[in-house]
Amino acid sequence: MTKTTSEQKWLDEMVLELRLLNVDGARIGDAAATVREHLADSGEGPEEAFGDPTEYARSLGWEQPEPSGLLAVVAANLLGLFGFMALVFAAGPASDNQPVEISGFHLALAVAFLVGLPLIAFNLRAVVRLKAWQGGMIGAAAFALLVAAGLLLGETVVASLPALPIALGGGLLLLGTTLWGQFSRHQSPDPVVDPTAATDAGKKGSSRRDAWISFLGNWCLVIGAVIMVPVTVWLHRLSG
Amino acid sequence: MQHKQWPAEWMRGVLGLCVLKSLEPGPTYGYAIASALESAGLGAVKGGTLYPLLTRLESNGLVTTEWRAGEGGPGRKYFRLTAEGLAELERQQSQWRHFTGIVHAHLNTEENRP
Repeated sequence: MTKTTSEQKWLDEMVLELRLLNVDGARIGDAAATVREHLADSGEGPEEAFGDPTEYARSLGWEQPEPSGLLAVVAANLLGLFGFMALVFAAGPASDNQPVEISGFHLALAVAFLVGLPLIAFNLRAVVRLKAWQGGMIGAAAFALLVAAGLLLGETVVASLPALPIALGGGLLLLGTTLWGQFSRHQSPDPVVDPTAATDAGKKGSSRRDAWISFLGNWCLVIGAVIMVPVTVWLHRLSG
Repeated sequence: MQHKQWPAEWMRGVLGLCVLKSLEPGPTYGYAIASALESAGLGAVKGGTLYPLLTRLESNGLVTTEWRAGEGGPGRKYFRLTAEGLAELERQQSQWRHFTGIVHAHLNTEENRP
């Protein structure tokens, strides 16, 4: 049991590193099956036979350049998230023709998202390799900055905008980016394929599951909006 | 004479050739290659050294791979020497014999003896 758990942990780290090196799913599946085969044959533990999983993944020499569509994918996801937030934020006031009041804190939050998320997306390898305490420190610093912005800017309203166009614009942005994600070649799933899977039917079953996960991942913000909008409208009416 | 482990720099220089040689009789899998090398007296070759080397040989077109169903266990990845791989093995074998001959002769000259 312990051996299996440590083996799986080692394999997970190798797979993660290969993903970060932009290696395709078929090759990753091949590398994982090769390790499993060797460990079953030799009776060794993964560290003993292959050393550090990250170093081993790099030593295979399969690194590929960043996919060309990364910028488009990051921008689309960011815009989709922004659309979701605008829709949920403006839905309540829009339901009874009130304006949306944007405070300094809202602006600080928007800037944090617009700067922070691309920063993470384009430095994903470095972010994933951060030690837990380093990630914790950075997260705590970002949170402290937001709290400071909240305290300094408070409830000061910097703009009062019509809610309906913001809600509709946000909804369209969310739907548009989700549809783009659905049909864009950049978002096509690249599942890890086990070359030792017993049957083609098994492989197809696994790829169907991956396709569903990919579909739900792409549409999760729309599903979230469908749930959140009625809730925020109801809460707005309750408080109004 | 059995050695637990040869100097790493020697192994780095000769391992590719020895792996190609292990594949000469026919297709075989990683652990069998490692076992053959150890039986030949080259010491234990870990998976972390062997598979990146096999991957490079495959990328260079010297070997091809094929997954075959295992007997009750996981499938096995078989490595097979290509025609290019066989030619490379013959070329390196010839070079290695020439090189070791020179080294051997050098080590046996009178002026090099203490």
